[in-house]
Amino acid sequence: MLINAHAHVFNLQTVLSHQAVKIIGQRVRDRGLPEFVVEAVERLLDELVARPENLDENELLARFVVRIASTNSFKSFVAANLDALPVEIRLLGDGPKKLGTAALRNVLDKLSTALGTTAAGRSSVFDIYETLRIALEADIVTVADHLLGHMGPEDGLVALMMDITAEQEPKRDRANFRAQIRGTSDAAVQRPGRIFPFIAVNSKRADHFDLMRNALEKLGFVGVKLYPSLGYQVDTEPMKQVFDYCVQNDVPIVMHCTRGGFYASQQTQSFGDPAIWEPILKARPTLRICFAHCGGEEGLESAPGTVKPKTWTAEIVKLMELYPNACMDVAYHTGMMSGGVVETNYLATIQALATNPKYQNRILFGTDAWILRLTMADDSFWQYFVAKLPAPVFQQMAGEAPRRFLGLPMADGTGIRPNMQRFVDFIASHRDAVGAEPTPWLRAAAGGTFAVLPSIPGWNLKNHAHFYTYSYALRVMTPADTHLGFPKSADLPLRRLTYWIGGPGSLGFDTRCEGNALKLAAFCKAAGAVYEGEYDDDSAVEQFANVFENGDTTLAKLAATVDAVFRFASEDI
Amino acid sequence: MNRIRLTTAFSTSFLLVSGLLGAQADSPGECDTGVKIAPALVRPDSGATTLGARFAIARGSARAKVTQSFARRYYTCAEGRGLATARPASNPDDLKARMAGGVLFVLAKVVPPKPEEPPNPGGGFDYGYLSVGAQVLGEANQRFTESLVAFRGELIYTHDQPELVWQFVPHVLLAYGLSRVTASRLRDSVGASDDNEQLFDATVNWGLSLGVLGATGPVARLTLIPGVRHFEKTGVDPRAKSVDITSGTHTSIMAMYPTSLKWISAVFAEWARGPLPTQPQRRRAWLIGVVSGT
Repeated sequence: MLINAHAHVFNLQTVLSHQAVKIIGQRVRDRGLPEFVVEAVERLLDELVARPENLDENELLARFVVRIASTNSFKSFVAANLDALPVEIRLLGDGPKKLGTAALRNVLDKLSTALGTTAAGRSSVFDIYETLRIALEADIVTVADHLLGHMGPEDGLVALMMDITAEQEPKRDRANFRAQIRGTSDAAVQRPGRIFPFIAVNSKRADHFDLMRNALEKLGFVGVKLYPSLGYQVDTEPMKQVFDYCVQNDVPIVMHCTRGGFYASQQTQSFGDPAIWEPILKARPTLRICFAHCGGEEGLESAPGTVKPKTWTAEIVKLMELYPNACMDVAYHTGMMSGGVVETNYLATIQALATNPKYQNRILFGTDAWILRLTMADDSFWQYFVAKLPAPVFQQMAGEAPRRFLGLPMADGTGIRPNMQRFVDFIASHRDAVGAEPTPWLRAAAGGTFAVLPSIPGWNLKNHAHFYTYSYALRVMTPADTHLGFPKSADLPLRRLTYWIGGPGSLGFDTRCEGNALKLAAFCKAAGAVYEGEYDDDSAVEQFANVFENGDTTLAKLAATVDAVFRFASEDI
Repeated sequence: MNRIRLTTAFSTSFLLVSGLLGAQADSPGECDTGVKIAPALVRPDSGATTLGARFAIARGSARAKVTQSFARRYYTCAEGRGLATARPASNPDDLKARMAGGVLFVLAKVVPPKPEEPPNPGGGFDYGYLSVGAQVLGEANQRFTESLVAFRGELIYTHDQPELVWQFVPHVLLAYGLSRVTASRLRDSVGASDDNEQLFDATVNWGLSLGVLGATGPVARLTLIPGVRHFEKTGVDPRAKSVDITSGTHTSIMAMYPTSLKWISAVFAEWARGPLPTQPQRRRAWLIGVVSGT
């Protein structure tokens, strides 16, 4: 069993706020992308903040290209490079065009090439689009499946939540964060034994401690994720309370530890300094903590087999010498992939650390997917480490080291830690309806039998948007189709519903589409749902009417639209 | 949304069209904002075969009032639509421009189920939908040798309940208004006046889903749509009656079957007979077609 000890399965919808968009925009800017790409990403996400939508791949692609083309900085770029640019990009500079998917992909490819951003460690425009495509999936299980897809059937990943709390937008912020907790917890049930959720703690959130405790004790979370550069310090009393809880309850922590990544301001970039942890760990020497990103890959690249002095990496190594449960991971280390002496030095240093008895089993493999997609695909990252490291070293980094860190049982079933036992108990409490076959280790740890109800991503009765969409659809479903039941109705095209009779152009068709849009909105409101973002009666009905007019749309897609437009009481946990 | 109805028509006196865009109805009610174009091959019963395109350019806006009982939506709409062909003389259809406004009422009260219950349609009542509107309509052939303007009110009643009894309740369109011929070579040829006329137009049809009627298996997806349209023109100059028709009844029945094919979402066959207000010849036609859309 291999484990990606650093991954993210949340979807962007669960973190989006105006503040988050700014932080994400800064991250894109830091990847070396031109301003028009940053602007396009920010505008696209800002629109989704205002009016959440469930965009399919084609809609997202079209919208991204149109947003790029409509920026003034792109028009200036085209004007300044007229002779050097391919004709597709020059034409795009004249204004947004309606193009097919293939043509849009071609435009993005050409633009990526024209911008010359293919060096390792840098991002291309296409990378940004691919990142958005994964991150904007309608639900968290689908994002998780995207990452699990290239892994072995028993392999797992650590699902680190993200809490970009938006203090100025408390209502949206609260709903988003709860949706993320619920979705991550559900993903663990849907893919039992393969997803290990870590709850994000951000002390700017007033009830962070209660949320953390609830997630760890009742929702199957196995650890805590910290991201101080988002704007909070760790050497504070509220955070010390968190650490004490983690020690008492044997809960591991993953701590974002590099100057890169997401940050609220230049000042908060240094909040992840591992030196801050010396007194914290001195008071809690048994705390299980992983300093993610090793403090930054530059600390591993200066000399073969030696950590660069006076770097965050050196500070982490010092902590690892003193504290046996301190670890580090190699997530998002891509700079060395360009080769040369940097690569030679990096690989030699990682091997030296991983094989040193002092640090053995404390250098963890992690990728940082899906955020890694800003630069490269997750499986390419895996393949690089598999190819460049000796097999026993990689096996240790992706096998034994994360097993120990997470508290998973050994091959003989012994050694399970309390945090992982709670996880096993949580999954076992859902044994009557898990989404897939549990992995062997979980089956052995939980005992008994599990009923597998193959889950359809984005179609779950526990989600009230789906429950009410399906219930509404029963009002306009033929008796033959009602016998399909909930699970098989996900792919039911809307043209099979009774409002469709005769189709477009038939007498009353538009009226029935509009009428169903009105009734569905009324149905959801009567169920206690409130509008998300800037949606109101007009825009919600318009959105639903557009869906009802397309007979190819499935019931699951209609439910995703309802989920985007409405927030239901069940979204609070 | 882009939706193209591909039709092959076998007709005793009609036309063969390979691309139609919502051709059957007179596009009452709200309009779908956007531009739609569907290429067509047109073979009229007289004149040469020609290439053309159905088009619809529309802009609409609406305000919704969502309530548990009698939700409603107020709309305004401006639209141009029709069939344009490379040989205007071969164009059997017309061009239309309209401005419309109205209100759609949902004649229902929706009561959702409790979340702790199994999924179910909930309660309340549901009597369908009523749309009431008015429009100013300009209509002409592509050469603008025949044209009119009309002001009419319209009422649409429709429903979609799956219970058996509702299968026998018709969908209804009633329209009544004034029209005035603005150009007509036909009428000029007989010296008829272009005084105001009145047109009453009533269409009823039924959507009979075999699944709702009790059929099971694949045949349950078959839908039959019988329909009748009757119109009456009054105030027509007697001299025009020799070249026009003042009343008529058009009947049709269509069978439609959805498919799971990627590019063809449904196939249909239709039989129709009788005149239309703009097609005074009494004709009979069979149409067999496929519906394709994205």
